[in-house]
Amino acid sequence: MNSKGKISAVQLFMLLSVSRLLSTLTFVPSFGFEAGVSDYIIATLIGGALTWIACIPLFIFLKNGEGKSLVRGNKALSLFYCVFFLFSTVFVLLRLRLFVSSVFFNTAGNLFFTVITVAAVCYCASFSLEALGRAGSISFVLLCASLGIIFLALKGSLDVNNLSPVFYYGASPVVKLALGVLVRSGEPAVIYILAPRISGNLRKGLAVWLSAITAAITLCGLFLMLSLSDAALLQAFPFHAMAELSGFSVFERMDAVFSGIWIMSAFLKAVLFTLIIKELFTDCFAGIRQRYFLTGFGVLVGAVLLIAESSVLNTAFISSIALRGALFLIFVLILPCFILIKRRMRV
Amino acid sequence: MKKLTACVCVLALLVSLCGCSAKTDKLEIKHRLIVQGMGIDKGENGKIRLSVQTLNTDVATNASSNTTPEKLVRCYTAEGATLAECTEKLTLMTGKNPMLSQNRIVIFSSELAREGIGSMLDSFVRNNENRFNVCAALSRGNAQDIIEADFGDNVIGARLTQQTLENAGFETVKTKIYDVTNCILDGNKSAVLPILAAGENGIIYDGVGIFRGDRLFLTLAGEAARGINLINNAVQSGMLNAGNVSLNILKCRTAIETALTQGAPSFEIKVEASLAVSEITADINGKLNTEGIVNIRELCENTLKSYIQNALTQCIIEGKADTFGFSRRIWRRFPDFYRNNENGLLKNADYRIEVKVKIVRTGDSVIKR
Repeated sequence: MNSKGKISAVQLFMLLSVSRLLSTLTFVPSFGFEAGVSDYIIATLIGGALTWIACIPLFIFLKNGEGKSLVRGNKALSLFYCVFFLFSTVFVLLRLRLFVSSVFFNTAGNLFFTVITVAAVCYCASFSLEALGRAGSISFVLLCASLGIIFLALKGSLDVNNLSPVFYYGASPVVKLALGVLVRSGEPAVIYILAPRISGNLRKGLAVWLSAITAAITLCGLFLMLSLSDAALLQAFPFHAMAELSGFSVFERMDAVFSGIWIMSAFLKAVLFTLIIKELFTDCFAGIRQRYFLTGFGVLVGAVLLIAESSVLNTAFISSIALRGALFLIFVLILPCFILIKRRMRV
Repeated sequence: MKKLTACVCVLALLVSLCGCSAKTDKLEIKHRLIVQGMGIDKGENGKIRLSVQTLNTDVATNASSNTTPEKLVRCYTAEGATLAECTEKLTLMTGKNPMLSQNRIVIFSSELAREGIGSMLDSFVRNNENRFNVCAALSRGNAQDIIEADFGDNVIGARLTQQTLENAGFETVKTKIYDVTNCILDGNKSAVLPILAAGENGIIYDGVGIFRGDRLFLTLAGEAARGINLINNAVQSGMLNAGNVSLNILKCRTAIETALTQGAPSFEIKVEASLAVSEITADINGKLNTEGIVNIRELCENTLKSYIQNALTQCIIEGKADTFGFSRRIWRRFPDFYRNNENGLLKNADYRIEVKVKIVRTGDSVIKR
């Protein structure tokens, strides 16, 4: 990875916060089992704890990694991680498309939206990491402000009676939900790859970030269930439904404003993953020009997206927890552990 | 070159993502049917009849001419098996695309509500335009009559109806579609909707309708709403009339403590209210003194207590309808007890009511010592 052009740890974790919060805000309750609304909140806390455990190899890597990337120029590893981030990019854009078509334009066609979004993502990925870092900081502030306004505006709609008894349907649903929270956390893979491009204390930043983001998404879940109760689980995008409720004084229907901020966050998340793929690929194959790579990548992602969007069954397959769980297991847990153990044995 | 590419990208995104590329939806305001109110009645052959009150977006005649100005609203009616089919028929009827996102109120006829409204709620969840936080109400007769009621040339009836419900203090219940959905999903809690009728000068509030599941099964007189609102902690303002005194409700808070006493649930309902004396129907020379304040306070406490007792009697004891979420409270606090006694949870329940009132102001008149 090119060692030029660094961003600070604060900028990185702001970007990752945008990414993680967006995963929460575009959460789709598509589970086939029964769980109480309070189980979702508890699962978020347990999922946060599991994420801490899953990040133990990352802490070790940051301590012993000598400021280098996990892949360290290894072509096979780099390409392997390209596959992971390619899937993550497709998933983010697919979810964005689903959100926009469910909430705003459910009769609009796929092709134009997909082409123009992929083109915009690839164009923005041609900029440096520093530009993305700055944009991420702005997006983080706007996202936090929008959530703060929603929470304040919901003050009158919260009712403790909307909650359910915890573990009423047993521990199994809570565990499954917690695992769902865990596998949505693809952010540790970003740190494995971008470590050499970050200045500042990453270990301390990671510890603070893990705690803060768990608290933030638990708070989001708490407000959601306190305001909407069981009706939240009927909606494709419960947090957008929660935003529909928010309003105060003459300000009504602020969900359109918040949706714009969330769409911007999704866009930046897609750009982050695309930029990582670009950096990995061009580091491995130095002869390939960035412009041609991004064009080819855009065509590939666009084609995959159009196939995925062509049917709800395809979309469901790409979005399935099983697939995402397998990728998380391989790229965030197994591979890093394997590489760290191998390097340790060599030493 | 980069700046040019960026500008082209931005323009393309603006044009495509704001929906301008949508082929079928006409987006000019005069080509949209801006729905302000919806009425749903039982139609013929098992269908439903949708009546909508829409804004008149056609260009009105010149106000200075001698012709009659057009009304602000127009009403249309369509029948179909689903709300989506009815909406589509409205498009065929009017040549305009209905915009449901500005809808303010949904009125179900009592006749339809007795057969169940659950199947109609899917539209408010699934359709991105139909908002699920819109007000819901029942009509004593046909919902179409309320939707088509004429309140004057410059009055949007649906907006008036919504404002009546919002500003009625604690005289009427305010229920949104998602409240009804939550009650149906809960299984135990009964939804309560206000019953409306169209009067000469406006909407008349005609009682409350109580649901079992998604079916209307009990109607109560309007006063029941006071007790229901008090127990549900839904009183933010209003006018309390106790004897010959009228008081403004400045603040009202209800807390309910749930306990299990000798194997039966007990609920302690505590109400704290801050009131301001608005008017006393008495001799103008009469002096309000500290003893009088105490008497008024006791009168208010007894009045509020009677509202709560009446609501409990009418809804739970006689009507067997849990309109207050007591079952859910037991479920949350004592899930094992709930699991073993799901049928007849509130059969032997005990209710204790405690009301504390503070008279905060007495208006622009002194208190004599």
